[in-house]
Amino acid sequence: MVKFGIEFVPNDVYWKTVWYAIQAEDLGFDNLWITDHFNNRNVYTTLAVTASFTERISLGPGVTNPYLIHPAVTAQAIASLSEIAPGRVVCGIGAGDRTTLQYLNIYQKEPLAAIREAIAIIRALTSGTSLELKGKVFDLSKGAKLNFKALNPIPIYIGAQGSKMLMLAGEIGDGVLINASSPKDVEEALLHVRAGALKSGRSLEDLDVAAYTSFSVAEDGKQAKSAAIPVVAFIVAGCPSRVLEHHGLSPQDGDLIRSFLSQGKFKDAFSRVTDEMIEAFSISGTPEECIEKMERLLRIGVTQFVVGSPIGRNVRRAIEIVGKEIIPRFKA
Amino acid sequence: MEFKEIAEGIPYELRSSVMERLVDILLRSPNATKVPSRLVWALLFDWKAKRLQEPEGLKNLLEAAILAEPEKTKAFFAQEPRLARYFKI
Repeated sequence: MVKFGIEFVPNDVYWKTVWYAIQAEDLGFDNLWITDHFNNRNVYTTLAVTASFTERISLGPGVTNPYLIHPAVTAQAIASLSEIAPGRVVCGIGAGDRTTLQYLNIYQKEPLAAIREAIAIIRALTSGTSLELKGKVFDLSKGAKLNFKALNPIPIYIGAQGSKMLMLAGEIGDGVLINASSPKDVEEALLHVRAGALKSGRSLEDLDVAAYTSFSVAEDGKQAKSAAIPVVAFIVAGCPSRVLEHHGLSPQDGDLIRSFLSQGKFKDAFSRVTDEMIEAFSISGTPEECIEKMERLLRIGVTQFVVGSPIGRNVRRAIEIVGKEIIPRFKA
Repeated sequence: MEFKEIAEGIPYELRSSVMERLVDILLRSPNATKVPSRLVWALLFDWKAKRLQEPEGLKNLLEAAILAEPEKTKAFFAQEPRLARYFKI
C-alpha cells in the first residue's frame, strides 16, 4: 500500500511545524520530512521537538547534504534522534540546493562521490562501527566512531533528480526521493533507479520509491495553483535545459526566472511562471485534480507520495484535505 | 475578565468554532514568537491530547492568540454576538 509523506520547510517558529506534524500524524501520514537549509530553522532542533510530540510518524531530514553538515555529524544527529523516536527515524540526503549553498560559498564538489562516501560514513557510525575512509571528498583516515549507536537501523533515502544520482540511489539507497511531480519525469527517473538497483543485484521493489512533489491543494483549484507559483519558480530556476525542453518549455524562460531570483526580484520571477510550468512541476488543484495526477504516479511504481511545499495557501486546511479526502482514496 | 472566565463562559456548542478560529489566527500569525515558551508547550500538549475545546485548553489558546494577534482576536470575538460581551470594543 502506498505511503504518504509530507514535507515541512521550517521557515517559521518551531511550534507551527510541530502543530502541523501532530495534525499530519493524526490524519494518517506515514512519513515526515524536514528540509535543511542554513537560512531556515535548524533541521535537527525541529526534528527533535517534533519527535517529542508525535508517536508513530517516521521522520527525518528531507534532505540534508554532506557539504553543509559533515556526514559524521549527520550520523550523530540521527542516532541521537533515534533515542527520542526509536524505530521512527529516516534520513534523506542529497547534493543540496545550489541556490542557498552559494551564499556560504559552498560548492558541491564531486556530488556522487560525496553522497556515496557520506552514506558509508552514516551507516558505519550509526551502527556503532568505527570507520577508516580516505575518499575523494571525506578523509576519515584516522578512523572515526560515535560513542553510542542508533537504537535501530536508519533507512537512508537519496534525494535525486539527475540520472547518475538516481542510479546511485538505486544502487545503495534504502529509498529514493525523486525530485519530480510529473509522471513523465518520474517514469524516466525510475529507469535510472532500476538500472542502479540492478547494478547491486537488487530490484526496484527493494527500495521505497518516493515522488517528492511540489503540492498544493484547495477547494478552489485556482487558488491552489496560485499558491504553487513561488515553489515552481525555484524549481524552474534549478532545472536543466533538457528537462524544461522535455516539457515543451523554453530554457530562456528558465534563465530569466533564475536571473530574477538571484537578484532577489521575486515578484518579477513569479510573474513569469506559466500554467504549463505549474502543470509540469507541481501537483496542484482541487482534491479531485490532485487525485487524478497522483493516480498516474502510483501506476508507474511510486510507493511513497510526498506532499511537498507549499502544500496549500492555508497549510492546516490543506493537510486536512489531504488527510480526509485524498489519503482515504488510496488507503481504503 | 480573565482568560479562564472567558473560556469557561464560552457555550459548549461554540467551542469548536472558537477553537478553530483561534488556531487559525495563531498559525497564520507572523508574531508567533511573542507567545512565551511555557504557553506554547501547554498548547502543544493540549493539541496533542485533543483538549483544546476544554476550558483550560481554550484559555491557553485565547491567551496565545491575544499575545500574537490582539486586534484580530478581539475582532473575532466582537463579530460573534454570543461572544462579543467578552471583549468590549
